[in-house]
Amino acid sequence: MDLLGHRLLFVTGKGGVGKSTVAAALALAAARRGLRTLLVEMDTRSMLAEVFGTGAVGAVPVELRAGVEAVDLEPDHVAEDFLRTHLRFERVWRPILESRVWHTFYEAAPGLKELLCLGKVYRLEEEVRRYSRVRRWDLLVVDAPATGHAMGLLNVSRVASRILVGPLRRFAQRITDLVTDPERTAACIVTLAEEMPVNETLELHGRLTGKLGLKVACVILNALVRPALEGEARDRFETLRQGDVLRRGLEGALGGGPATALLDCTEAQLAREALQARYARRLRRRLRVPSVEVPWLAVPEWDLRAVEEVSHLLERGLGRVR
Amino acid sequence: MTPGSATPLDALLADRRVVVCCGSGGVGKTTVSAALALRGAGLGRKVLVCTIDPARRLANAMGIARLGDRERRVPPERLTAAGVLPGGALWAMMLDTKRTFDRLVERYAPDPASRDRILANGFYQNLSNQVMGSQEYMAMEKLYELREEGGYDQIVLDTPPTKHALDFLSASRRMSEFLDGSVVKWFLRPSILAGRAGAQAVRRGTRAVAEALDRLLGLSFIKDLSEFFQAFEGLFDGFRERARRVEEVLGSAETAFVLVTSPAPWTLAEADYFRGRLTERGMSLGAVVVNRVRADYGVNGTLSAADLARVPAQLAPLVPPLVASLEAHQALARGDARRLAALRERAGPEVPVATVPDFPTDVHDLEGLMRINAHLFR
Ligand SMILES: Nc1ncnc2c1ncn2[C@@H]1O[C@H](COP(=O)(O)OP(=O)(O)OP(=O)(O)O)[C@@H](O)[C@H]1O
Ligand SMILES: Nc1ncnc2c1ncn2[C@@H]1O[C@H](COP(=O)(O)OP(=O)(O)OP(=O)(O)O)[C@@H](O)[C@H]1O
Ligand SMILES: [Mg+2]
Ligand SMILES: [Mg+2]
Repeated sequence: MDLLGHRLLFVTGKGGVGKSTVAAALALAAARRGLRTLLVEMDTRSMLAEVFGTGAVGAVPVELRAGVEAVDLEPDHVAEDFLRTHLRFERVWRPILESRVWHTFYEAAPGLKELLCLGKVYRLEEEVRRYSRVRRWDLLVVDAPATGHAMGLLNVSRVASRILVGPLRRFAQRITDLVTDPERTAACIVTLAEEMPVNETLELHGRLTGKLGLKVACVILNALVRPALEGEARDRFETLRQGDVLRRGLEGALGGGPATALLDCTEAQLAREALQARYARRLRRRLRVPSVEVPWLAVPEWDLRAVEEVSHLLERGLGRVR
Repeated sequence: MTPGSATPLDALLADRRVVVCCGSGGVGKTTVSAALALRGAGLGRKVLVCTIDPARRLANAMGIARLGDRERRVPPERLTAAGVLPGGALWAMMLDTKRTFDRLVERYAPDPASRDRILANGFYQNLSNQVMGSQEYMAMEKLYELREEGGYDQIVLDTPPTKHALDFLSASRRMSEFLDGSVVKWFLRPSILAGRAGAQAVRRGTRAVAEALDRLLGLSFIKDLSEFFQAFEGLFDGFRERARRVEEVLGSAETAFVLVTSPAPWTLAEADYFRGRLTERGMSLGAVVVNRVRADYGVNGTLSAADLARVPAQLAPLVPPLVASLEAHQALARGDARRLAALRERAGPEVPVATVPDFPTDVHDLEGLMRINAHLFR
């Protein structure tokens, strides 16, 4: 499976599981491959600027590094952009944008914000380079909102093309065509190997591929703890743990404090590993979608190096499932 | 008073009728809500916890696995088995946005005909289902209802995972703004209902907006909307009034906000932002719960070569990997401790900061909640 070969990727999943990290990492991986990539944030007040050391990311694409640009689709800008393109003359759209009716309507009308946001993604996908018909970007990676909101977003054009009638209906239809075209668009679900994220992933997968008609290209199992002990060392540990040989030996050599610390820390880690392994298994058993594992990185502060590491790990993982 | 009431968190919760647990996604809001409710019950109160999407096993443990938007009493014998002192009582429920909205309509619609018209309206069905903010809004409506009629000593409200932890605070306000004059009036203008949009709008700005929207959205959609608003008209005042009351309750001394966060830098930054906005709105932060703090195993620095030389040969190959992972863990734990200290500093003496360790396994039963409470209340 060639994930980066699509035109548009939606990265979604439960809140806090690593969507933004994975989206940024995928964009970096795409750029390494020579693809001109746009990372699309959806009003996330994102950490990108901090991580990449660029100026604030906003409505205008900012270069994060060679080959990767980023935008943040802030709702007010999206609205302005929308009214501007559809109504053309500033003397027409400006008063609307500034009126209270529009403001309240935009704030609360169900789905309108989502529709305009998704519409903006659609228009970015179509954007061409100056004086040419070549697309400006080869790949758009969307850091989509978490599960519930993501479904609202990805469903909105479908609903809109059912209930609207004006020019917006055709617009909505074209958006739906793009989003549901498996050649051009794929979703990628990020999850942790824990109960709630895994359950949510199963549900989300069902809805995305079912009613919404999207292709889910892969699941990314993020932040799996790396085993503290592997292979022979693991076996030895298990054997020695029986009958307290390990504890007594360590206590004798290192003293009670350090020995207890070593053992407690290891036990906790093994328990976490076992838990994650159980949920990872459940996920794989229940979903026939390729999954890629990203280990948990023990970095105290999350920075560009960490995102790059995730990017390389992801690239390698994706290479294996291809 | 019970001996437990000496802890800062008990002191905070003792006289609060409403406790709202908020914070970023996945930090442990639902778990902490349930734990706080359990504590209240253990202190002899009649407590209700209103959860949003609890983990399935936690829902099972509380006996609310079936959706239904109804409060269910947690069997007293389960509480006793988990070590909760008898005397109080615990009810739990799972918020069901759509059901709550439907029931509101059923209850407040002026007559059966308008009730049916609303429930059948396509626009309403979208509104009540999956619109951003409607979950938050319904949590508020539910809170209002439960507080007025439930007869509980204390209601612990879990909050939905929002993009920004704040969204739910403004949900009532946003909804009541939407339902407020200008927009509704616009949709109810006679010209629309008659099928000629725009024509009779009074002010110039309004007319421009009207015409543009008509053109963009299509007249029949606008008509649909108008019908919805028309059917809903009789309910607006009630919605607005309740939104106002809920905001009043949230800002009053009977409510405590408990901010749940993880010790990770980004979540803490969100938490700070949230704290600021809460204060801006004249609502006060009651306490902060830092959940899943990594244990400090109490060793700093590396083990010396001399130490390692004393390890029996049989164990020797195990020691380097174990030491390496302990050291990596300790570095993280120190980071947590540092950020926690800084948070305590920022929170000041009035806001208790409680911590819960990161357990190696999920917390999905009442015993697990009790274990959390052993840390929260001390
Ligand atoms: N593989 C990993 N190893 C260690 N930490 C990670 C890993 N992936 C993500 N994180 C941490 O988890 C935090 C949350 O990640 P991120 O912001 O990408 O999640 P998200 O799903 O976008 O969250 P939200 O739903 O709030 O937008 C990050 O700050 C990062 O520190
Ligand atoms: N102290 C802890 N140690 C270990 N696991 C924990 C701890 N607290 C919570 N958990 C686990 O973390 C997961 C998420 O917790 P919870 O559902 O309470 O979060 P939430 O903030 O309500 O999430 P959401 O924003 O999705 O509603 C649960 O599986 C829970 O068992
Ligand atoms: Mg994110
Ligand atoms: Mg929750």
